[in-house]
Amino acid sequence: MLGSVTRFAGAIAATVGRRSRSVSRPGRARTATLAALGVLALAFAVLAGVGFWQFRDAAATAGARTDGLAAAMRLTPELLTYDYRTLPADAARAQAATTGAFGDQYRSLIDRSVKPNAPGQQLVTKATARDSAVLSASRDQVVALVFLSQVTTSTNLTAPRLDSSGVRVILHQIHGQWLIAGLDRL
Amino acid sequence: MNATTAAAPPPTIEDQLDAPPSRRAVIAIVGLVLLVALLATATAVLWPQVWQRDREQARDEALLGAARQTVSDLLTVDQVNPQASLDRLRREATGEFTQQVVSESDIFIQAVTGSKVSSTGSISAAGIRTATDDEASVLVTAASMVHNSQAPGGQPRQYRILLELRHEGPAWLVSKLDFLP
Repeated sequence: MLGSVTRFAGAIAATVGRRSRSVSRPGRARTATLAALGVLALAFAVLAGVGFWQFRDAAATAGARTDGLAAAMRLTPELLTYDYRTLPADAARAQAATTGAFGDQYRSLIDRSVKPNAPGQQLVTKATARDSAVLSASRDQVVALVFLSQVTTSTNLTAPRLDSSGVRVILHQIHGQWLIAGLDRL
Repeated sequence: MNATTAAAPPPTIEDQLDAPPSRRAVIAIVGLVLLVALLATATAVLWPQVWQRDREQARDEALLGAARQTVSDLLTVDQVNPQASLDRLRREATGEFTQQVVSESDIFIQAVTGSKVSSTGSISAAGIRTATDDEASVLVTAASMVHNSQAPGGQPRQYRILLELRHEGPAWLVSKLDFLP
């Protein structure tokens, strides 16, 4: 026990001795060089780190613009296309394209106003996305402007009705999949 | 400076013992230099791409601003001074759209003064279809309240517009403008 303490003290003394010896002139220059390099390395590590983080964000946003817009073109018509003969399947397919509170809103809209009326009017409506543009984009959210044309037939109409519209579509990326989180007509 | 500090002391056994830490220091310095070089390279590669992203954001804002301005100017018509609207559009136009503005100016002035048209336009959304540093394609939805001799109370109208723009000098100018059905 006593022996180990003595050895420990001896080791400290040796270290101190060596350190004091190494603060000779070449040693000081060496320490200064190491310190300067250390500071430089730290500074570049911060710069490179922030740069990497920003770069990843930029790359992800660029990807989001392309993928989000493609999803907007593909999914928006699904929400606005249904046939009174296949209403449950159409509603389920459309709901699968939505996410969050908007999905619930969409379902209640279909249940409240489409399902009770569509069969009686033999309502068939088909939307087609004509064009789209990015209103804003971040890694996980894209707001798109989608131009639609829509053909509707029903017993209330003497001829098929053609509508053109512009809609603002909010899309979220959920587990790698783009889904509609909001839609409003402009 | 005196002779005692200037003259190097003869190597001692203790200096010989310093040799291993000195080698370690060399390794540490070389390692740190390599690390600095690596991190500096990463910085030099990454940041230009981040700046590119920032430039693109600024570019997108500028060209969307130009598209909004032109649509707003086109839809905002003042029956007292329709020539002012045309002059404004001329300054914002290039290529095909300039020709269109020039060739339709007489019809425009006649229609505006003849049926006492006045209209106030507002943009509801403007987004980018495609954009490079030289040209861009933009979609705009807009609305206007049109007053004329048939509808003095005003009639709301909705528009879907496809614009093409070119970057000329410091400005983005509209080279094509189509109202989509």
